Amino acid sequence: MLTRLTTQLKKGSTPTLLLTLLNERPMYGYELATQLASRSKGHLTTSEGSLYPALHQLEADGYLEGYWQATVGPRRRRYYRMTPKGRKVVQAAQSDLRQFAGTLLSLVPEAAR
Amino acid sequence: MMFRWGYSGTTIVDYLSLLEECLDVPQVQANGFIAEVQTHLEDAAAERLGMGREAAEKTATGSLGNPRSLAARLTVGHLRNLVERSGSLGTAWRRWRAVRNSPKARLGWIVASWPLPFALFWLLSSPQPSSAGFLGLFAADLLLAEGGISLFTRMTHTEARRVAVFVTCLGVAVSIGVAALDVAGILRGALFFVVFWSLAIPISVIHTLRLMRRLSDPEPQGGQPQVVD
Repeated sequence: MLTRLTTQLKKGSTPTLLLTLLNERPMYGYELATQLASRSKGHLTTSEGSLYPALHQLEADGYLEGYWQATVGPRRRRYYRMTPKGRKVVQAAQSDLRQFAGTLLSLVPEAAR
Repeated sequence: MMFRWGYSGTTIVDYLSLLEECLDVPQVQANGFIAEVQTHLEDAAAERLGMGREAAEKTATGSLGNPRSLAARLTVGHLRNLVERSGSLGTAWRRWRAVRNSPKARLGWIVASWPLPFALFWLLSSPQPSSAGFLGLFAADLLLAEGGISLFTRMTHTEARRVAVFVTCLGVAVSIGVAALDVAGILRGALFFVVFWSLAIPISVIHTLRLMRRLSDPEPQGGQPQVVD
């Protein structure tokens, strides 16, 4: 039960975190996964399987744009970059997440103390 | 990276094979998903080659979770986007309906009315010009002219003049442009082209004149002119 609650909490914040990372520069899926893992000190590694569905949803919503780029040899990587629409919403999304996290923390006695 | 419960990973080839089998999306998109996941897995495995290739691939695939589950999520996402896109069309249609009495919507009707009779003509005439094609052309033009005219009943005079000028220019340009494309046929004396354009151009002119007369009517049928936007 606890694991499921934590998973849902992480899943809900994944789109905002992806937008935040991509607001810095274009990245590909694995790079995003490693960035999320390293910046969250390993806490967000479990979201790797939901990474691509989340990216595709953000792309379908028009916040991101995916494009293929050649790497070494015949390999190609699919990069994602922010669209103007995505740039407009990222600040608001971050603000909402901060507010939500603050509200949650204020409701947890140990954290509020 | 963390293993998912109930899934301990496999080789990249097996993972991609099962993912492809379970994806229920058009092949082009399936290829895109698979290529993207393949690159991800190869990158992840390459970082762990120190533990041996098989173990590295198992760790990499394990971190992405069960391919059946991933395929299901990608498929659901694809279907949701399809539904949302069709929802967007529905929204566009509802918006158009809500503003269909506005000058912009009326202008859109007129712009759209020009290619339709000709498209219907070619459709009915294919592969050879036929009397059905000519009848379709007349019917469509008459219907669209009447329909277009009825949409202008509540327009202001200024709006009507602007639209009239636009419709006239568009009608003349379309007629001349398309006739010019067929000029070779006319010069060869092909009966079809001569008959077609001797009918189509007058119909276009009549269509435009009727619209202009209706638009400049100070008190059109159906009520006093008024701003509707």
